[in-house]
Amino acid sequence: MFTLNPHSGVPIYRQLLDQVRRMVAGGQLAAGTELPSIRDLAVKHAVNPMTVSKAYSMLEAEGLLERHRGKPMTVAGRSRIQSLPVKRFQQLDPHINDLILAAHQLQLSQAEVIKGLKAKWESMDESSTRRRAAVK
Amino acid sequence: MNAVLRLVMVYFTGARVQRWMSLSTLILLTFGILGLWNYSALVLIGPKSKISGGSIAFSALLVMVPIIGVLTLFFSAALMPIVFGHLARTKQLHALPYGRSKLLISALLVLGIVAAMFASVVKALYVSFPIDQGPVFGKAMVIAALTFSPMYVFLWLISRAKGALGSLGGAMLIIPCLALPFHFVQIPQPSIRMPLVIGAVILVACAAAFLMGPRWRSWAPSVVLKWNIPKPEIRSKYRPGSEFALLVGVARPWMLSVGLIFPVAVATLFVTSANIWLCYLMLCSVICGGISSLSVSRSRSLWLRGPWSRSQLFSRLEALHWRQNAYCISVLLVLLVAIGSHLGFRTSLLAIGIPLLLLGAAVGTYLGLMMTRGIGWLDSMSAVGAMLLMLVIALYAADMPTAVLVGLDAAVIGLSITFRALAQRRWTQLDWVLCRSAARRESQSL
Amino acid sequence: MNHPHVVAQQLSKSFGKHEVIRDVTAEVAPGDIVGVLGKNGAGKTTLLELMLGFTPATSGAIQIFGRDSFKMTNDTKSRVGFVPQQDELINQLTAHDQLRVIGSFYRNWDNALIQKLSVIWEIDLKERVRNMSVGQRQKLSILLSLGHHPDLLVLDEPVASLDPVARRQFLEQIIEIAADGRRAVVFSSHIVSDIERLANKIWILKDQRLFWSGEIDTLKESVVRIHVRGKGLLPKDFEIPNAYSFSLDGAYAVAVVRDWTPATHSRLANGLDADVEMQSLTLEEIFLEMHR
Repeated sequence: MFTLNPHSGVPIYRQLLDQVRRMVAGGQLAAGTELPSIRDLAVKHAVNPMTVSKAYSMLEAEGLLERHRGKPMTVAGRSRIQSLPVKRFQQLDPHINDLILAAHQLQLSQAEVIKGLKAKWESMDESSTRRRAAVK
Repeated sequence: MNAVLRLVMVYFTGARVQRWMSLSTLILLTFGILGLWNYSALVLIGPKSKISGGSIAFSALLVMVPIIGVLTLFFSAALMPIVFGHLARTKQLHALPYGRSKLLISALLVLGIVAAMFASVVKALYVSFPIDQGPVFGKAMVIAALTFSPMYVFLWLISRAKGALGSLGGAMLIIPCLALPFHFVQIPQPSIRMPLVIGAVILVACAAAFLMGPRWRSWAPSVVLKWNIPKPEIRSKYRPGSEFALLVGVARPWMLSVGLIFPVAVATLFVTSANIWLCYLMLCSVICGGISSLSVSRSRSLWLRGPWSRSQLFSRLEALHWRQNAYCISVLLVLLVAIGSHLGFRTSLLAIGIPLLLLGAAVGTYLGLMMTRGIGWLDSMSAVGAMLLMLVIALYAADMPTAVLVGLDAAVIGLSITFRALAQRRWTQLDWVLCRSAARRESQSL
Repeated sequence: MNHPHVVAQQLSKSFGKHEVIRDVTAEVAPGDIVGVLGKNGAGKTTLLELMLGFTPATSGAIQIFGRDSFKMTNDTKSRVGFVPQQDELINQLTAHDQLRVIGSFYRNWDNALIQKLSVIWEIDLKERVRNMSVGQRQKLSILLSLGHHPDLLVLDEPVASLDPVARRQFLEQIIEIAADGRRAVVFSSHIVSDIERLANKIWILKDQRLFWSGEIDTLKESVVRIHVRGKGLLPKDFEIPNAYSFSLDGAYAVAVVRDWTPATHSRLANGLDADVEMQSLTLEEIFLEMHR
């Protein structure tokens, strides 16, 4: 379900936080979905269980997850899920930071990057529409 | 040539102990040989000693100094078999240019130096004797080479020993063998043609085998497979209740004590004097007791896993080692009685022998248990002192008044009790890190 | 049970004149997995040996389960497991017998667990220890320390000789141990990636001191690399305080700083007419920067 990279600069708990937030905001984690137990997740990804526990607790404090005694945690099923576009946009932060860093190193201006971004976006939309049409 | 000389330097000065020994050897041998040369006429030698002038003490000194010098020389090159054995098995040796030959030459050079020094001592000893001086040096050199080379092999075996049995057996093999060169040299005119030829053949065969070692290894496996030679293994079966002994390394006391028989058998070939036998067997019992020093560092895992405090561990180990000693002492007693009746010792000697063996084991055990921080100056001094006392008892017991004998025995008993008290006190503060680092420092000769 | 398993207070250890550890204050709480990092000779092994009472402290104190470690009682010892750097196996025995020997010292030795792990870890119990490879011996040493379900497991470079598969199996076992939140694990290793995965607390030993101790997440969030890009040349006397390393090249500066917070970020960005970028570092990079 999750991709955890212990060797990136980003702490593991934060990676888990970001992924859960993104998946809940995007709808991939529907309300009421059961999350893996702390022990299972820790063993599967070979990471410290306290890290997983910390992430789960923070998500519970944010209201995204609900704790049930004796049963695994579930995604909260409330209107909290309908987060603002601003909040959803925040999920893109790390990617945008990387993009800006790379652009600076390549000495590309802001205008160039935005122009290229638009072009790429439109081209990707086009090819995915074409694929869906071919399948039909 | 550089490599050979460097290797020889390492053999003689590689470890701190070696350096001190080499220095002492130089001093002892210089004075010894000079003394013998100048005062040769005053020396008592030969199977029938004739006092030719001068006091007994002085002539004893004249003889002892160079003899001790030669013995120290032998041990100061003790690194040779260890380094040789180690390097001979490395893959590195293949890559070094002329590696094998240079290594072999360095070993032979050391043997030559030791033999030459021995021969110089003999030459100086006999210089004023009415015999043909020509062949003396040569013959002494041959004898020394023939007798010292197997002893270096024994030394190598000891260094490879992984445990009490090997170290013990090896140490006890070497001690009587050290007397061999001097024994053979006592007879001024032996015919050495036969031993020379045999020795030369063996030496050339070994050298050839060593130099062609790598080629051996390539076709040896096929030979072994054809003959299906099984490797002898020491297997241990675990019996519940013996965990303590297993972890400490004394789980097979009978094996160690039976192993005593072989070196003693070797010694019967040329030791005939009752006093020397007492000395030798006493030394054996000390060494048997001394394997307790191995258990000091091994007790760490016992402490961590078991319910004993350090003091309680001391008591348990003490009991365990006395159980071991009991086996060894009984075997040694049987041997003493057997040899004594065979060689016709006086029964009074046996009466002295029994407490001596017990004392030897006690001294050895507690000295071993005292070594909680490696071997300090105090430890070695007191060990030497106790050993000297016991040697005196062994050598002169028959000739001294009973009161003196009892007094000396009491002194040794007192020393043993002191050692025990010291060991007990040290164990309450036993620091396994210091123990291990001391052991490591001492074995860091390579 | 909220008392820490291990408490060290101003712990110092010297061997004669040689000072190995100076003034170490740290704790191991239940549920912790502590990773001990340091260059060779920094005192990792000595610290672990002090923890287990093999050697007395020169000054300061170290307590394990509330008692001085040098005088550990039997109850304490039965709650502790230790895997030394050099194995202490008896060569002449079979693995099975070796396990039985050690197992006989503990009242609650779990044979079922040993059997299960020996199958998963592929240890042939009938093989004689003398004939085992280095990796097998290391696995057996680890197994010996797990049978009595210790509350505190101390490991000194436990995986140095294990292949990646065996290492991963070992990591999974450690996680199982720590998952109940009552037991603790302290291990030293050179394999920084393993520590990065497993540990929630890090102790970094440098120059005989506990250079850094705390949560790994805090470490990763506070030690970061900063890239500064100025619109024009940056002032020649420009410097970033509290940095492990710093280099300035015209309009571009890069530094690895400690104690990074968002407040410092905005302060720096506002103070200069420049773009300030923060890059996270892996544990290995952090360790290397600390030793620059």
